[in-house]
Amino acid sequence: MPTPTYDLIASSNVTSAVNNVTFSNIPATYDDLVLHISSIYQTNDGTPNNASVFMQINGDTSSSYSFRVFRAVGSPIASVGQSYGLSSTGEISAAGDSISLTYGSSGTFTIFQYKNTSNYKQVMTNFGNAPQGQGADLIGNFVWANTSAITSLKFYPQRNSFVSGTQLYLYGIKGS
Amino acid sequence: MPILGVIASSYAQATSSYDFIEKITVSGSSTNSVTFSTIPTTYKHLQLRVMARNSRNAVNGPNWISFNGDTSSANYKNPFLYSNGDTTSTGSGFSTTDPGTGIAAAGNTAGSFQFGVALVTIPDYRGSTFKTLLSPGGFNNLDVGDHLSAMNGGLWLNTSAITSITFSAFTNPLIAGSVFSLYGIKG
Repeated sequence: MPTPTYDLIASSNVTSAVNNVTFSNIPATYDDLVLHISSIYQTNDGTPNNASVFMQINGDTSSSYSFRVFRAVGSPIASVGQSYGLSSTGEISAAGDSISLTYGSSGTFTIFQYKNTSNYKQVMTNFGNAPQGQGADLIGNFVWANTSAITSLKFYPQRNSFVSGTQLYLYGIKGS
Repeated sequence: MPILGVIASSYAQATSSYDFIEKITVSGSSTNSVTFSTIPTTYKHLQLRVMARNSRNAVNGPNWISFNGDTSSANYKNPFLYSNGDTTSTGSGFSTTDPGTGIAAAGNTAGSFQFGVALVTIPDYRGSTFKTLLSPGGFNNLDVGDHLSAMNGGLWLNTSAITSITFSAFTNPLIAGSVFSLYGIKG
């Protein structure tokens, strides 16, 4: 018997500047998690665009995240590019604009088998924006090198704060 | 004054047009393929959420998707974009020699606890045109040896409704712990 799913677990609409948004006590009743983030405004610090959005799992700040991003670069899009390496967070890079708040943007984190304790947690990221004529990170992924079930997710901008207009929606996908 | 973080709120009960249909989890060491053979005809689109690894002697080991038991390479077209390797490497490809359409997965030399992931969308699976799919995916081997982000497309040169879907390993068998989940999207 098919089971309706893609359930909204929690959401956050930022109405005043905050350093992070945290989803805690994530229920263990799903197989996958999906986080949609939109209007990723970050406060203007005068630094050029392409500020990242980071994701921290279960409060882990060690260098146990490894990422790879595949992106289109330039204005107009002139080439493909990439970024990779070890990190202390997972991320959607080039996910916001820290110099002009008029450039909203959006992205998705898909977390596979988040409560399964026999695999490291693979996260796929999809993102589209072109702040001030720059490129977009079309697809990326990162791994959290830990077999623990995910119980909390913290999202925070590379620079300064999320400002009013940022929205985060966390969904659960059932697998039984 | 520092700006404090916020705890997400607005918990809500969901309504959805997205249904879980079936999950297949690989166990043991002799599973070469898995098949969804009783696909309902009550949806508009299908989606598969995959976490998989196979026995290919490499970090990267794609899997194949075939429909209705058809594994003739003449009937499949596979365009793809990728970023991979432990250095800078990007590219594209177009294969017409595979027994299905490819999706990202990990191979047998990937590190412990490592699997590849893919999100496979098959629009209009009962329509009267050739069937297409789109599958972003990848895996990450902790920045050692290889890791991949890829976007796979796929075309099945057949106008039949899709009634079964088979995932087969690039190199047999599939590794225990691989998970294949099928979802229907109403339309």
